[in-house]
Amino acid sequence: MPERPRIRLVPLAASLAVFALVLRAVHALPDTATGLSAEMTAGAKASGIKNVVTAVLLDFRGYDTLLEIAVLMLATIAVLSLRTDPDALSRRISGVAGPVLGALTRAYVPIMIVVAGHLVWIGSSGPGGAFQGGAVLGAAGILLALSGFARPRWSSGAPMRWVLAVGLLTFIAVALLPLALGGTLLQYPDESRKSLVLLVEILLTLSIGASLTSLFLASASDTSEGERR
Amino acid sequence: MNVVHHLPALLVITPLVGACVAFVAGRRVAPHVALATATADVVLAVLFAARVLAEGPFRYRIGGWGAPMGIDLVADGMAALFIVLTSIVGLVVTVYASGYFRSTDPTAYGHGLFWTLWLFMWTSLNGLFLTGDVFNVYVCIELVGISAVALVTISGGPDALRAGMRYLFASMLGAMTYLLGVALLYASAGAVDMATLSERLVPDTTAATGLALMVAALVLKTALVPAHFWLPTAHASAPTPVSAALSALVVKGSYFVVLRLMLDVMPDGYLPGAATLLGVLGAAAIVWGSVQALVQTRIKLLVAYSTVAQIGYLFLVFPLARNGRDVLALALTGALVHATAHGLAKGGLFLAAGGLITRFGHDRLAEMRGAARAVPVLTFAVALSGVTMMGLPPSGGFAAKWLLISAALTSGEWWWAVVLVVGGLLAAAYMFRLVAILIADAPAETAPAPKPVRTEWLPLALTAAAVLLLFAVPLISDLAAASTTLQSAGVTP
Repeated sequence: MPERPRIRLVPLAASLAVFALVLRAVHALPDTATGLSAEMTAGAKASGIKNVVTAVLLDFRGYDTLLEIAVLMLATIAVLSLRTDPDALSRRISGVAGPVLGALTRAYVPIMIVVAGHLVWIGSSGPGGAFQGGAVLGAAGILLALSGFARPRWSSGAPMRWVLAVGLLTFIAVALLPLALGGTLLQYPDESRKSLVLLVEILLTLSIGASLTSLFLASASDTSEGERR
Repeated sequence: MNVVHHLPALLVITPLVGACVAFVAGRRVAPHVALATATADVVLAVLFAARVLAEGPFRYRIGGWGAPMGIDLVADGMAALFIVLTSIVGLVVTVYASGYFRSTDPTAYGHGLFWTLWLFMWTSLNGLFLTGDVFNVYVCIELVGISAVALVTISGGPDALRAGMRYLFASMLGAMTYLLGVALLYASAGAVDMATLSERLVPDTTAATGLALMVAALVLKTALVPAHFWLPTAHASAPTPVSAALSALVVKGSYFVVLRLMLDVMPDGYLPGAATLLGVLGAAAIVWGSVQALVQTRIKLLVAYSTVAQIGYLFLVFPLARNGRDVLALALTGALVHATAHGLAKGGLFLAAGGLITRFGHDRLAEMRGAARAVPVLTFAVALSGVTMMGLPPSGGFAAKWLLISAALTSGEWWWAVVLVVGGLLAAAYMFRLVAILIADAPAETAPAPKPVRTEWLPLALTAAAVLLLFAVPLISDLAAASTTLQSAGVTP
């Protein structure tokens, strides 16, 4: 018998109190923003990366992003650590479920890969970048798996672990490179700043895509509904 | 490239590289990668502490931008102390874990990922101790939170999964609340760098609400009473090396940020009442945690509730810190000695408890009578950790209580000294109960040791270090003097 939903008074009161406090705090904000956006925009112009979001993510606050990539990889590994059989879902779905699904997937996935590449490329000057490209790539991976296409051998085991880690490892290598040139961590040399950022973004896209696909596939239940008692 | 100039960066990057390599290399090679990383980290940590002691606090500008645009790492005595503590407990836990996971089911898929998760946790703790940026703190506590939850659930048992889920919710609630606070603070002060914030902070509603939310979130993550509800089950149902790391190190991570926010970022008199409230909750934690530890029937829960109690002492520094710089120096040094002593003693006590559970095949205290005859080394380790937890001389715990009581008496706020004495008596009560069971004159029903257990010496090494810490107190007091807090208060070493 399903448990009846109960209203818990203490958490409810606490949430309402925090909500009221935040409302009061937001109301008290001055009309003019005092943030760092002016400095950031000027800095981005000087650094040659026109998209200020990319400049903030990969350059000014590249250290945050480096650790955020670690968060994403860690989350994937955390989910994998709960599995007894990390490939349960792909084994359960076998064979493409019909001609329409197969044809559409065959048509869409190459387009999605091109879109992902495009998003990374335009990231230096406009909206786009590794996270957006990786999200499209991850969706392509999930589409392939759910439509029942057989997984290639490299998509599990040691080769897949490499794909998951290559983005972070490249980012670390690029972050450490300036140390040999007399700079601090992540202090890209001016002349190669753009190409280093692009290199990091391309490999991050691969790892982010692989992470998102793995997260989805690994969080599927070990047993299908029919097999449960 | 001179390694010494880049120590703050390398202390974060080294375990991060180790985590990636351990993941890619697979389960066979991973333990060796972890051991090599742990050894390298100890060396880096000691070099780092030596440099801070020699040259005083310094900042490391990542990307060369400098705050407030970029992220600065803050290298000071307080960071150095916690990093050295992490490296010592970390190395012992790594060595212990290589034996522990060999003896458990080798086919369990998750166990192969222990090393990666553990090195990720190490990365995030070092990151937390070094960062000078309140947003970067958020990224680090996310890393700590996810790795800690994954490590609790790695054994996959139903108790561990239930405790891990509760831990995950508490952890996410803390992280989200903290982030909400950072957003409000940034909206008001226009910066996320701690040093810049301390200059720009004005007592307006937005900034005060933001800081209050951030401190509340970190208090939840540190498991200060009444936000301790997630800790006992999470720490008790984790695999033994994980329990030790969680109790010895992870709660110190969020506590460290509370220290930074309350003592460095907030000017005197900011958030009136917050310091007193934290002190009162600390006192409540000492009493409640000890009483709960007294009535537990399972060994790991007893140890976990003792952590709840010991966390309380750490928060007595906040009300005492408002009484001028001499009392501040005494109280901060006392809190730092206590954090170090508790880290070593509790790490050792959890490893010893794990060893007892392995030998008895269960965790029921009542059936562990007479353990001393079968496992004298582990019993001795438990007794030594008791010495420091009660604050008996000569031990690190004694020095910590002495410093905190001196601070309380010098400030005239004598009631905190009463709390400290009562806390010591309560700790004596639950530790004597534990030791009395172990040394009772009864035939112990342990399983015969399958082979000589070398890992039994590891908990003893940690608890002995906690006792010998008394002789390192001058060093810790030098490190405290080299903290940004005491330097800006004008205390000369």
